[in-house]
Amino acid sequence: MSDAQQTQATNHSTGLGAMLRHAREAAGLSQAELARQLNLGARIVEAMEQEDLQTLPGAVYVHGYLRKWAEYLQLDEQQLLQAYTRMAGELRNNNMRHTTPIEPMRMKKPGSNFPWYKLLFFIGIVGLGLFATRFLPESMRLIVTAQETPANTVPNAQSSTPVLPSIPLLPPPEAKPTVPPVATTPGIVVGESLTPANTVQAVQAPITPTTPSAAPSLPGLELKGLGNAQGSWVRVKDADARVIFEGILAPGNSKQLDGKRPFEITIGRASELGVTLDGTNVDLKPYARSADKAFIPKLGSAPSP
Amino acid sequence: MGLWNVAQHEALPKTQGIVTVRNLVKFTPVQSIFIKSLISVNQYLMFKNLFGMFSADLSIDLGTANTLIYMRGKNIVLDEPSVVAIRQDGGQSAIQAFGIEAKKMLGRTPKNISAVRPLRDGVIADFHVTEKMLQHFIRKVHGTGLLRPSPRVLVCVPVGATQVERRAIRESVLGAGARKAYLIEEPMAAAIGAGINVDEPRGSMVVDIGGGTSEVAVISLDGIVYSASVRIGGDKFDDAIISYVRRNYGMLIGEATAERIKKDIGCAYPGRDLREIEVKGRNLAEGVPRSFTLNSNEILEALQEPLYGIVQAVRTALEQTPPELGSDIAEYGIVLTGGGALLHDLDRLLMEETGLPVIVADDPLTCVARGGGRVLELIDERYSPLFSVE
Repeated sequence: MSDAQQTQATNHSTGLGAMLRHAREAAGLSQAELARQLNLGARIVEAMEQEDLQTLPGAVYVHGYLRKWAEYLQLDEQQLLQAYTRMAGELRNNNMRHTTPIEPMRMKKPGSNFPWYKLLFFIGIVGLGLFATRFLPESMRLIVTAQETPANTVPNAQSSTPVLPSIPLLPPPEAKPTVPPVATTPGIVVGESLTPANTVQAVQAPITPTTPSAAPSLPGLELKGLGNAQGSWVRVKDADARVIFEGILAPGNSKQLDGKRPFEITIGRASELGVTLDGTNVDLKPYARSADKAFIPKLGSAPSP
Repeated sequence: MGLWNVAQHEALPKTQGIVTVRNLVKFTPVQSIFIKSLISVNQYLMFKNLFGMFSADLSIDLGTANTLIYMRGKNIVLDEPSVVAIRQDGGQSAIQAFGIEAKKMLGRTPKNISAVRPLRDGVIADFHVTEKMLQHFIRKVHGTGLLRPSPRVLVCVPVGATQVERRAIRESVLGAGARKAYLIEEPMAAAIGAGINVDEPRGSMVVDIGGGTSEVAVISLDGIVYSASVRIGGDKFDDAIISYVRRNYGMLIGEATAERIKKDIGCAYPGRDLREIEVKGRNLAEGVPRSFTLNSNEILEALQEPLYGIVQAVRTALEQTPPELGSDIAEYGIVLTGGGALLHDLDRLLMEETGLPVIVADDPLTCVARGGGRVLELIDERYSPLFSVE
């Protein structure tokens, strides 16, 4: 209510404030005296006469005050209440709306509270999975190709690197300037029966070169299952700590591997596995651990120039 | 409580208000299978929800003295005393009357009819009768329809009610056919019904004087800051009047008479005018009914003890109220609701005793039911844990 309206309302003869003030003056009371008589605060009496609706509390209180007024000053209660209702109609609506709680402050309805973040999280997980599977085959191709490499097919001596086409991480050995001349034909051939054709200097001490035999040898690492029992579990990691082979090698089977050197080889049953690096037999005894296990931390590490 | 028999219904003349409660009629197997399947359909396919679409939500003020029902979209649709008259015939009972009809029978019943008030001190004293009464009232306000009404119902409980008592109220409302039962604390509903803006950060004190209990609560920001419940109410006033008359006049009067005296000349503060009433009761010494006159000052004297209890509860509440809220209450006043607020000059008494402004709400009897109705609307507008709706 603007000031002009307020003044108008106050000046109006039927205005509530004017009615109250006239009645009080007719009774010869001051505002403070009336407030004391009605047991109300002086501020409230003043607000009532000024029709200051902002200061006054809700309708229920004002109705109560007006009843007191009417009783004490012998006024018509209904008339006062009606005058207030007329005057405060506007504000009352506001009050009603105010009683209706403010929406944004409130909790959302449970129905609309859909867990979008959970959905996003889920989509993210699925996306990550897809992303990973796109790339996994390539990384796994090392193993796949290694496994696909027929272990029994004896590699030809003519083809020096026939089974390493799909290792992109490994540059062609010839392109490696850091590789010393002795290692120009990298790759290990594991296996006792398979003796390398190219006699290559073993890079590490435990690797004892075997005598050249008729069997063709290949550069790279060859694993060969020996014995006649269960075979041996073996895991080969390359220099990047990537598993390039893991599995059980049955007796008679062999595995041709290559990758970035040096290799890290863990063997479950050393007595039933032969390891050949670049055609050189690797003696597993220095690496033996308890219960026929063996662990070769570095095999075929190229000495840096 | 004996057995309810449908044969009762046939044996008696068609009296209005007789409702057979449970029948023991033997059904043929086919019939019983049909009935059982209907019941299971009702339970498992949630027909209640379907029927609920045709039932308006209700807010029930299940009071010790009166039961009020507020129907959403309408207003107070029922205001009847919480009284049930039960007829016992040969070990079988049937309900004779509810509400106003039954209240007329209070203290005037033959041996085979007992008019009982199933609620005491604001909580259920007789579970089955309360359930039947609620069922009757809910059907009454819904009128005769094809479908059984199954509204959502909000019921008020006293703040002092224990978990067991709350559960009893909830169960009886559900048993009466409600689809869903919400419980709200009485002073909160009373404050909302009185029109106090409870969501403001301002302290408001509500004193709800009902039939069985009086509740005092300080409310701010949609929540109850302090609440207390004393088991003093209209009933205690009546009892006090009865014992006063007996002590001072040697006369025995009934509850209904005591209530009439209280309503006509009862007052809580010495007033300017002295009012009188002529009462008839049985003289204890002579044993014959006699007429005598009581005045309002005598009733005031009689009511001193229960009134003191209420004043004490309000004082305790003021002591326990945090100072900021206390200053709000001191500025704007205490609001009285409930039937007890209609006791003449009760606001004056509280005003003199506390020194604070005391205001009687508009239409104090229906405040709780109306407030409950408002809360029902709010529940739909937004889900909220406010008003401690359970």
